[in-house]
Amino acid sequence: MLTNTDEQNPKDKAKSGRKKKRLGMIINKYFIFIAFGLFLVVLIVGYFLMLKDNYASLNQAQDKLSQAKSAVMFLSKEHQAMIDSQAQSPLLSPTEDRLFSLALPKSFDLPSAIIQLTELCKATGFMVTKVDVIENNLVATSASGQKVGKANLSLSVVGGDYDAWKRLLLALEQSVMIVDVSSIDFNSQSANYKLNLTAYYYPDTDTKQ
Amino acid sequence: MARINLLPENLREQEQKEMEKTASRSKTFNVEMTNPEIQKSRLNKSDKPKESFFKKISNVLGPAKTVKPTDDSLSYPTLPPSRLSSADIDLLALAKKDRFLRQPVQVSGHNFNRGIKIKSAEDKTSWKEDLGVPEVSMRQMSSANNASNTRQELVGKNFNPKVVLRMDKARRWNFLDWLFGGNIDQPAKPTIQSFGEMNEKNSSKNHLIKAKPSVVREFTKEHYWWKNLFSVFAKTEKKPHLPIKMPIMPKFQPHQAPVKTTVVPLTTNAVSKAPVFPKITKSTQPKGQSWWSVFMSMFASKPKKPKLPIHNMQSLPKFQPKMTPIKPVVVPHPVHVASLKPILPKNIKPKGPSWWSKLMAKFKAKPKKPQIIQEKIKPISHDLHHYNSEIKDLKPQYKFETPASHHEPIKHEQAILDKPINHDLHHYKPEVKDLNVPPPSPLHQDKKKVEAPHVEAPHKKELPEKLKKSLVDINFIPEDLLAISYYTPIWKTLIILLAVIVPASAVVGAYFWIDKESQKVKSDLLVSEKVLNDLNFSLSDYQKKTNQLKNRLTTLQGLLNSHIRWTKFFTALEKYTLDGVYYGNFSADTSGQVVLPATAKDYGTLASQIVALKNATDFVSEVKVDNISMKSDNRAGIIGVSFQLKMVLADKFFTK
Repeated sequence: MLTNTDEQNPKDKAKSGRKKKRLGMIINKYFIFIAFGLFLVVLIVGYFLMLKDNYASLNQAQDKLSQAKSAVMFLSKEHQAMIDSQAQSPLLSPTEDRLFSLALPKSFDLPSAIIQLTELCKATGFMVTKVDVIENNLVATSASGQKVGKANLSLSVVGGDYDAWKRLLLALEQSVMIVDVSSIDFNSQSANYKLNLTAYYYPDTDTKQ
Repeated sequence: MARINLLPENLREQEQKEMEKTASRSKTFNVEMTNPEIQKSRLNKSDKPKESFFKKISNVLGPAKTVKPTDDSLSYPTLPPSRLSSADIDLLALAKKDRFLRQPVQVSGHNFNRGIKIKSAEDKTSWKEDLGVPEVSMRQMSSANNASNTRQELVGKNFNPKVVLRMDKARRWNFLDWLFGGNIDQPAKPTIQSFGEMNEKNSSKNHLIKAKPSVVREFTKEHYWWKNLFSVFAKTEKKPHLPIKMPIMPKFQPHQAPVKTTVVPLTTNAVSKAPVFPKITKSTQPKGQSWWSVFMSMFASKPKKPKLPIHNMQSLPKFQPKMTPIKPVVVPHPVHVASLKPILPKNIKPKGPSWWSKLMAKFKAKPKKPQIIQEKIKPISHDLHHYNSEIKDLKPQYKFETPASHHEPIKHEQAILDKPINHDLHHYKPEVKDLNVPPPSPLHQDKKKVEAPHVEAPHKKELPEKLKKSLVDINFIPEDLLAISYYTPIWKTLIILLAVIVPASAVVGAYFWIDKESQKVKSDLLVSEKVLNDLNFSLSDYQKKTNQLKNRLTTLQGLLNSHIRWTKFFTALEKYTLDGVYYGNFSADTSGQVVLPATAKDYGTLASQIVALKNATDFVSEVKVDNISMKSDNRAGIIGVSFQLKMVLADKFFTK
């Protein structure tokens, strides 16, 4: 006994068979187009799956490379110009550098200061009787806004007259080492002179940092 | 080995003497062919029975072009072997003695040995003899003939300049043999000069030579390719040189008359048994081979089995080269099985071999039909050749039996028989059809069966009946569908594979290319970045140094600008201090307020000093005087006026 489903099945099968045949005929008829479509599909799918991102990254990398190359070109030109300027006009000559280091040393050089002061006093007819370092590592701001180290010294000298005194003051004012006379104390009845001096140095803060 | 001298006794001694003389003079002689009178005299002599004898011999030996009469006057009736004259026998003996005949020949019952090199005391010096070159030239022969008038006549009548040329060619052949290392024995040259000695076996056993001719020709196997090559272009060589030993085939026996044998005595009264064959018409003789077919036949080393297609091999019986004369081979009609294959519609794919075998079969060359037929016919063509050779062997016997009234047809027939046998059976087929013969005997019918494959007529009768049904083209496919050219599954598979593989490979190739390029770009980028960093570092270091120096310089500049100059103060103080005023103690700093204890000589000086200081604006901005008092000394009285001077220095007086 065939049920309804069993009776319908052969019809369905026949219909499906006809559909398959039609499909097969269509495939046979347009086989070359189907093959070409398959060709295109594989090509497009492969592009989107495999090529697109890589191609974009490649483009980005190429852009970066071009930028880096241009930067390299620019910097290389700058570097070449720097080298050329250094070769043609150096910043400081050795003597200038030495004087510069004496005028504004990177740190307070007490021995150098003592030697210089005694030599100045001796050159002007005075004799240093006493030297005291009152303060050190004082940081002051210069007029240009830069931080400068200060060192206070107390210097007592003996000898000389008013003219020698004036020469001593002039020598201190014109010495390579920048020294400011902060106070002067003397009397006409004795030949003792007391001077308070301020020496400066340029601490190398950039190198420390 | 015993030798038989067929010369009469009265001529033997004389002939021997003459031969010894000529042999002692020289081994090689030239033929005196330049004397036209001699030739004329020789040719004019009409001794027809003797000429017929030569004719017979030449026919037996093979192509008889060399002895073919040049004009009609030389055509003569052949004589039966019973009429063999003493002169003929004399000539044979002379030829035997001179070792001319080097091939086994059977002529009207006389079996002569061909190809056997005869050594005697005379031929021991010449290398040509060692190579097998016949030493007896025409001069020698003619000189020997001088001793015998009979022989001279015989030789003179059959003398032909072509014969001499043939002789030289034979030498050349032997020289080529020597040069290329071929066989010394020259293949049988069926010329009139190639007389040899008698077959001693037959002669020793009984002095009667069997009349039945030997069907088998002994072709030497040592023929070489160059011989065949030259034989292609040597048109005078009518006899094809087959490099094989011909198989024994059933004899071709004409159906008209039974073989008659006549007994001929060995001597002048000898009796020989010679078969008598009926007249053979022209149509039975196949046409000559083309030079190309002969040239191609050289490369066929052996008569191979017919190369039939595989599907025909089972249906066809194998070719048997050695067939008994009683039981001939019956070759069935070749049927091309491929033609029996039913024709199917294109879209219906019968199950068969695999796709690979189909694919490979597309690249194979299909066997052509003509080749199939030719391959089937090939072995039979050899048979026919054998038949032809057999016919040639039998030809003189036939001539002996022919009456004189049939001279002209015999001559014509002879010319036909002299033609080389054509291996191609296509030429032979119509001739078989044209045979004007009465109904064949049962044996003859069997032979016809053997020849049946040559004729295609029977195929046409059987094939249509079998194929008619299969050839009906029944196709239910609509025409519009048939008009579409469908691809075969193999092509479909190939196209699909190509449609997938080609773009896939292109994509993969592009992927790898992009990957490679990106790697290359990245590596370049890394290198350029490194260079950039180095340049940046060097430039930044330089800038740092310059900035540091600049800062130091600016700092120094600021310090110098703010430097306190006490000398300026003392100079201004000296300037604005009046006479009569002096300072006792001095204590000052950079704050700008200076307090000086001073002493003036009187009050007027004090007042002037104050005014002077007040007027010194560049020096003092503010002046104060206090503690003004008279300063006295107990000893000196009033010394002056003391006061305390307080000044505020002008702005930035020390630094300016």
